[in-house]
Amino acid sequence: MMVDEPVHYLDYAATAPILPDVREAMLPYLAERYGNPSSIYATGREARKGVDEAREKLALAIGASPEEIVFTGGGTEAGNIAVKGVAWANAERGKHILLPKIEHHAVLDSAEWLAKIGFEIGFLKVDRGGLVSPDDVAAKLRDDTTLVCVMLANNEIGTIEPVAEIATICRERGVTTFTDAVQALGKIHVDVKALGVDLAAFSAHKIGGPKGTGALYVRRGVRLVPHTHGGGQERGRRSGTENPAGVVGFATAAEIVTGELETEPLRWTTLRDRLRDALLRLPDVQLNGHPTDRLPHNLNISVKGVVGEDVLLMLDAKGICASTGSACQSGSVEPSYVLKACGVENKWAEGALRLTVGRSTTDADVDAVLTELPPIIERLRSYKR
Amino acid sequence: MKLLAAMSGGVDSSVAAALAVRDGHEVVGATLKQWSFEDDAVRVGKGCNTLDAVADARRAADVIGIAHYTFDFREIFERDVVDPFVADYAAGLTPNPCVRCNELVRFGALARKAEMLGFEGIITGHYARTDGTRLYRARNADKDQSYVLYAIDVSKAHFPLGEIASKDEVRGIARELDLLNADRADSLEVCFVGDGRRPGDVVAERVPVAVRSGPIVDDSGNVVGEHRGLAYYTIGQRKGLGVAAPEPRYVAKLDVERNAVVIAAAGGLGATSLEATRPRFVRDVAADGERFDAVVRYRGEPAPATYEATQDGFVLTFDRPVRAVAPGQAVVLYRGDEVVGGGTISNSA
Ligand SMILES: Cc1ncc(COP(=O)(O)O)c(C=O)c1O
Repeated sequence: MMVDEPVHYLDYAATAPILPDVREAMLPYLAERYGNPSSIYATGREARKGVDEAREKLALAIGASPEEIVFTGGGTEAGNIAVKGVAWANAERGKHILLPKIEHHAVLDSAEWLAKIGFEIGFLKVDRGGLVSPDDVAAKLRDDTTLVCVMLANNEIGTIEPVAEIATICRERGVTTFTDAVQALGKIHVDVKALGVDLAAFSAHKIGGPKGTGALYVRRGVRLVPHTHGGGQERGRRSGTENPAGVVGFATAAEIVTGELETEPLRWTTLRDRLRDALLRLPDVQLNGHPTDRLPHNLNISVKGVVGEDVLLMLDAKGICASTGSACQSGSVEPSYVLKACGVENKWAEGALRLTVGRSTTDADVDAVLTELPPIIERLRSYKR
Repeated sequence: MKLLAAMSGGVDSSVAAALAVRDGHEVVGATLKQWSFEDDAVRVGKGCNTLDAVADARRAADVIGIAHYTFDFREIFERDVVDPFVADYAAGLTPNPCVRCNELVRFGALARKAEMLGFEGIITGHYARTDGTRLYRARNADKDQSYVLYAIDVSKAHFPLGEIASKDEVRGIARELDLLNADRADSLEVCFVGDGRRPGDVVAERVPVAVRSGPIVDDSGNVVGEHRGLAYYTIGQRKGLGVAAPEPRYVAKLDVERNAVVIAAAGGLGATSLEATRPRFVRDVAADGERFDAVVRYRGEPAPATYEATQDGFVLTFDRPVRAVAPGQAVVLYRGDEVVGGGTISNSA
């Protein structure tokens, strides 16, 4: 594809373009405010001030107190700290952890690693739409269960989980709850106190902030064993010199996107629904995920008779950025584990296509998809595999 | 033209892609993930399959300025190349996996996928020439790889390196283009076997019963030594037999029924004819009595022979005895520089 052709970016669940205001807010920390936030002189104090203000802003955006925010190197690290940190901190009480198979790999693989070193994982059921049932959580809790992980919204299918209900059940049983809220922030209202969870993971780059920056909300009083030891930054929960530019960018993005929650998501839903309605009219196309309990910007469909990756390549040639939804590492075409967990048959799952809209998406982007995608599907279907 | 360049990460396929871009074609690079090495220790740094190779190919594509994709071909490669390779070795044959890979994977499954995605052809870094209907040896005879290509469908094939006279020229172009792997040596190993390993190791892992030690016998039937398993031996092989004899001894036959390696002195090795199956012709099927220069192994010397069709292949009768004709290997029929076709050697006499 030529560089100067227009690009239609419909992969906001993968990452979002950095917001201009975010870039502006970060720049001083990449220039004159270069100090180490732990240093006593002026440039260090300025960097410290940036980090402190960022912590306050992010706390405000998610309904937490600033001291409950642990900045991390991204959503993955936040998930790792939460799952492993809680499991270790409670290992004497019990070693049983519950989670659904549709969790992001940051959480799933952390739990699977724990299982290798003596912990036990129980999997929570999900229905065809990807929903976890609070009743199933209640039924599966054991005396030695110490942690329940249920993501707030799934990254592939956008299903919004009943996390508040689950947290209530767990709280009554004295079990810690963690929610991966990486995909939810900026798309739906996220208030950690209202959710009642003990820990929650966030990532900056999904909301127009920089990559490699994230945060973990840790409710006051939650026991957590750190796994990065060092200078004791972030209250000893994640040592290492802070990333002022990153966290300032993150907090700025969080402030902007949560400030737009009354307007933007409605616009996304209109665009998304236009895509959905038109694409579902094509023969042998079905919706993945939940029809209503889903993020406002997420569409995930399966096109029978094609391989999702082939569709992506042909869309790429037309300047359309989309995804199959699965984190396809170096070209693996394994059908999505999320769809598999939802009971979607392989012949449908392999033709999955995820389109996620966002702040920059316009009707022109939707039009481009609706013009280019149907002939691509037709062409690919005409080749017998 | 809109072309898909199969890029292995090595200098040849990178330069091939770059030359096609220079010629004005619209090129996209693709690397096939064909194999996963379980054990990091045997993960080779240069074969066709490794993550390193994918990373190198992607970097080369970046430098050339083209898009690059990775395709997961592990299942296809396993089915069409590795499984038959193992089965052949277990049957006492000496297969050439590159022949099958080119026929069934690169110019088979990949070419079909490319066509489906709207590409008009496939570029590879092979040293050979084609005009879309015929196949010829490369200009650079030392580098010629037409032997492993006789079975492909040439209609979609583009070999930009075929016209280049010397390898140094390829390296020169690579350096000119700032391709980072310009000086890296190309691997000569079978790509999925792994560094420091032998094909027999792969067979032993998958079909342990097929790789048992047994006797080495001479042509009069006397046991003169012990072998590690037939899969570790090739007809014509001299080294590594551990047999003391006044004159050099060579592997003459792999006897699966007796699990024996049969050795002979050089004089007992020549074949005057061979039978081949899986016949493939680039364009026109050969006629009975037609004369060809036959090549029975990669980089082998051409030997004049007469062709005659059989029910499932053909028989070649050599003008003079030819040494080390190994069942399982390809026999390729040349008319001068042109590759007319070939087949898989099933027998020799
Ligand atoms: C649900 C979910 N959790 C965690 C992550 C990981 O976040 P990060 O990319 O910041 O490591 C992602 C995004 O990739 C995600 O979608």
